[in-house]
Amino acid sequence: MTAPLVALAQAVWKRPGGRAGTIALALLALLALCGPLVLPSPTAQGDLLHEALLPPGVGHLLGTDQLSRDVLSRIVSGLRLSLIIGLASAFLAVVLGAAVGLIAGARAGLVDSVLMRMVDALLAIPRLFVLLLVLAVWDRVPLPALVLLLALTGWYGTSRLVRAETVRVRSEDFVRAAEALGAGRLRIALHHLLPNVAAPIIVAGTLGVGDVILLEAGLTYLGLGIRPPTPSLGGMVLDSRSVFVTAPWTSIFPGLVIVLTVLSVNLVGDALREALDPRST
Amino acid sequence: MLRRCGRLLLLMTACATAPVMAQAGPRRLVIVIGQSVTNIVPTLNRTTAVAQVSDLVFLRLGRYGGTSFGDHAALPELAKSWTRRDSLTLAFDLDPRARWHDGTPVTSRDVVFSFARARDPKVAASLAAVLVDVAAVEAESENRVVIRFARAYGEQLYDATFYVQILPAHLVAPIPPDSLMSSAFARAPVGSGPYRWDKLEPTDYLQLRSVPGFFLGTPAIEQLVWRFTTFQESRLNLLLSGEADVQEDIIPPVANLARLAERPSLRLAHFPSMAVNYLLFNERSPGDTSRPHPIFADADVRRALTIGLDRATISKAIFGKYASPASSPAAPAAWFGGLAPAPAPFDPKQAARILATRGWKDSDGDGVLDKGGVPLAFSLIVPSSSVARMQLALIVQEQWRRLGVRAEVVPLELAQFLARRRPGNFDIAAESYSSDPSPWSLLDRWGCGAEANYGRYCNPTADSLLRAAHLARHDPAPPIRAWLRTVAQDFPAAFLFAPEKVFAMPAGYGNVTFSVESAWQRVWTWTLDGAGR
Amino acid sequence: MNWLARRALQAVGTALIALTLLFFLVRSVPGDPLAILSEDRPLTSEQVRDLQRRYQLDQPLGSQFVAFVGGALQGDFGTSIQYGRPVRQLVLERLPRTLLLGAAVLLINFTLGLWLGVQQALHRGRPIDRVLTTLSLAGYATPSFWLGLMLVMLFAVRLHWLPAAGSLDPGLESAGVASVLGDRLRHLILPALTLAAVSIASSMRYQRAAMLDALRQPYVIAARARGLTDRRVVWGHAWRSALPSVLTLFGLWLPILVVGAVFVEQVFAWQGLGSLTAGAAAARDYPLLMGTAVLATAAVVTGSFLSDVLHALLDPRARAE
Repeated sequence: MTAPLVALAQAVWKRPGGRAGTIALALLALLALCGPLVLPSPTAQGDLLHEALLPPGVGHLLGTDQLSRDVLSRIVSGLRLSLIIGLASAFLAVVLGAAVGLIAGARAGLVDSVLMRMVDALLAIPRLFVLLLVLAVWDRVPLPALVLLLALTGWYGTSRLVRAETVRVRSEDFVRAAEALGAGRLRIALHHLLPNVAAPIIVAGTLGVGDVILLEAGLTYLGLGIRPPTPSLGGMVLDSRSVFVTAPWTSIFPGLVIVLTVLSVNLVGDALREALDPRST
Repeated sequence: MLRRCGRLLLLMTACATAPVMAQAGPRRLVIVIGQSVTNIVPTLNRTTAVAQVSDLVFLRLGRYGGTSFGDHAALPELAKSWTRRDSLTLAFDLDPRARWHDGTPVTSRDVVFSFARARDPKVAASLAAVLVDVAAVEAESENRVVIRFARAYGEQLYDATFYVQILPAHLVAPIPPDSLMSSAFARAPVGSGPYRWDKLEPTDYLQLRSVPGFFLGTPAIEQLVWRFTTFQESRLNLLLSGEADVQEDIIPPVANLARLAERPSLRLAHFPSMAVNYLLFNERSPGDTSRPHPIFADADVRRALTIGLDRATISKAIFGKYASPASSPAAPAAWFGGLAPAPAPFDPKQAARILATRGWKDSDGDGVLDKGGVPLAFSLIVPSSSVARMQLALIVQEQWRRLGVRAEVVPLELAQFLARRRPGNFDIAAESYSSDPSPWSLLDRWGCGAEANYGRYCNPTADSLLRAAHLARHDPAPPIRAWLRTVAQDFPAAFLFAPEKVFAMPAGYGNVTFSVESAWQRVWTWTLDGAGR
Repeated sequence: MNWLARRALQAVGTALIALTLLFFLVRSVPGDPLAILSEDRPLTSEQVRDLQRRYQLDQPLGSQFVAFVGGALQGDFGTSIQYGRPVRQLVLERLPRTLLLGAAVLLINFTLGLWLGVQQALHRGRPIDRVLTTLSLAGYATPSFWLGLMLVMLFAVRLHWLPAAGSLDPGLESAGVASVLGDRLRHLILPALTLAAVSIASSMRYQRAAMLDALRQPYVIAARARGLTDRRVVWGHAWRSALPSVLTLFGLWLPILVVGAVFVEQVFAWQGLGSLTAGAAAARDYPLLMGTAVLATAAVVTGSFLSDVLHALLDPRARAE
């Protein structure tokens, strides 16, 4: 089971895009994990009258915002939160999508029809629309709820993918042989189908992380995601709206970090996709 | 083929980026505001944004004269003079030169009609409540209106002139009240003011045009355009890129002033406003108004939380020098503002002492005070559209944290904020309220059982003081002063400060004045010496 | 034709299920739709009862649903609680602006995106291919609201080349057609560029893949064997089989217009459908929400339907499914 994964990792590393993305992600993760240990508190407000909106310099590497808080430490906190939400949510979405897709593909017949019709209908509802509506309700969205919501609105594509692969693989000879030999459905699923559908799942999951990070930033920018004073990248761009002309560093850097993070994730995802499906190059 | 497309694209871009000059000139003023305005007919809708446009189109018998008491409470507008016949009657002589924008003269019939509408609870519920002491409005002649009051009190002239904008009876009377909002009149209103309705692009802008023969003097500025941008980002940008002339509320953030200083063609205009910012304590339990609030029912706690805030620093951080401290709902700009006591000084040590005396101690060492197992923690709701209040909330949260109080800032869309506030479903609400010039109107918000008294503050003695002030015939100052002192000591809210209105506008206009109650009311008196783009 | 009818029916069915789900989701979310109407002076209980009757909020959920469907079939989505005007009017007011922005973005995507994708296919594997991929991925990774802010800061505030916000200049009502057109164009450039930058990656990728696919076709290999250069082959022959795949992408872009552009609309004060929807969600304006929901769902369903149809029409192989 691990041998193909190791081969996958090697394939990603071989590609320049994959390598760059992996290194960048590793650096970002390191920053997110270790940053808080050496940087000042992201929520501490300094001297409001004299330390607000300081440009980048000694003492505050990326400057301070309107409430005299250090921009760099807020970015690091926000990055950590974004990564956690992205990974958790994409993971959940993949698990959910894979489960539904596997069931639909393996059982076929009525179950398949109903499930796929539902997926079609759910796909017809714009993701942002549902998120806007539901998030407008809560005062303070608990983190698990936000992750769950993002996952619940993001598994449709994966389920379709997995179902298609399942159907395809199911008709292969070795699966038929296993069924003929009396192997239980679950066993077949785990041992035969799963490794074969792993490829699209991994790619979908990786790309999903980037999508979730962007979505979360956007929702926070609209005032719906993570609420103050918890630092978040989208929230920093939101707060900087009224001062971004006079103090551009309060919005340039958070945005750049979002770009860097999502780009790295997508480069890795792209390399994965290339490695798993050479036809796409 | 592609090369040709490319060239076409380049050509189009060149045409597009060539600067297109709109009708330039000082005779046109473009004002950027944060809300949109679609309907300016009086009594239909009255937000601040609507009011400032409506006041230029629809006049009143008299305009606010700087006080709400006595017979100098108004200056001539549609009425050129008035006489007091007895303690219950005022007679108004209309200015014979006043005309509706369609040319017909303004007569007493219009006044009678407008008052009848305003006093009808089915048509204008809130106005009718305020005009309850107006007993009768009659036309004595073509140009004379007699208004009789139910009792003798000091604000008679104010009540007769401040609240009712006069509508053209010959155009509005035939329209049934229910369909006024969607009528042709609402889409193209006809008033008697210095500016007439020109056009409206529903989500973009509204335009007014000057009335050349306006009876009080032809306005120098010919066109007024209000551009709506509900998005904060765009407001300053429109000003700095030259697409707008005036931005209201240029601060906060104070940092904008530095950008402004770089533009010699722009100047700052600041004037006091009737607005006061405060943190309203909910004295009843959220969601169940029959029970007292577990934390804020205690007046000493409210006091401690207030004096534990460095209000002067907060004010300076958000508004720079353009705000003054407030200790009560009375803005310093109100005529009775000077009667308010000084605010309690910032004293965190005293605050900590008071909290300890009331039983709030940190028994579990988590940095948050508690009493009987209940932590001193609550939520603070803020409308996310207000830059000042959002900033304020975060600063306040931090200052209270140092006292061991945990406040959770909850930004809400305006609709949600209102929805939570009305039934009392909140702990503390960050409010900004502009009162009317009459102290009597404060009863709306601070009187026992008043509908808009969201914090459910109740002090019957205070109410009787305001009532005494309202009925005072000669000197209302003592009861008003007493009321202000009582409220300042009860701490129904942590009164913070009264910000000024700070506008950025083009330099070169003369005789620039703004009205405290309705910013643009005097714009028609401005002159154009040296103004240019 | 049988296939077409079946596919159309499927699309309609999907839309209906989606709308039903949405209707009950919208109503089940707590919040008082009448709250926005009581800004400064609270509503009396009589007024509240009146309003509830007017907007049918006092009816059971089931009959509200029936009323909604009935109205929707006639194109009547009721009156917005926030604005007091018919939903249809509000939507139609903003539709032209949304369509304009959408059309501009699509234009950029399908000219520039197409061309770049073709270049990538032609130079497959070489540095330029990788650079373009990375650049387009960087664009995709950029939050549209942030990019918009940066562009405004640069082009409008610092350089004064382009307007900062809005879709038109109020002062031009009496100017000539050319000035008005030029003005609209100027206001369109930054928002369109912002949206195009974040979306061009998909078009490029799609076109690249489609072109590569086309290049592997037997007739292309034959043409190459005859000595035609890749470039001649691409512009001469492979175009035709690559184009349909790209046209199908067009169908998938429709939904972006209704909700996805909300961030850009925010930054540029572009009063389109996206901000209308966001405002309606926050205010629990049920009629307006359902109106925009219908529009959004219709866009998605129509988009994918069109995409399938175009794909099938132009590429008979797909019809076999």
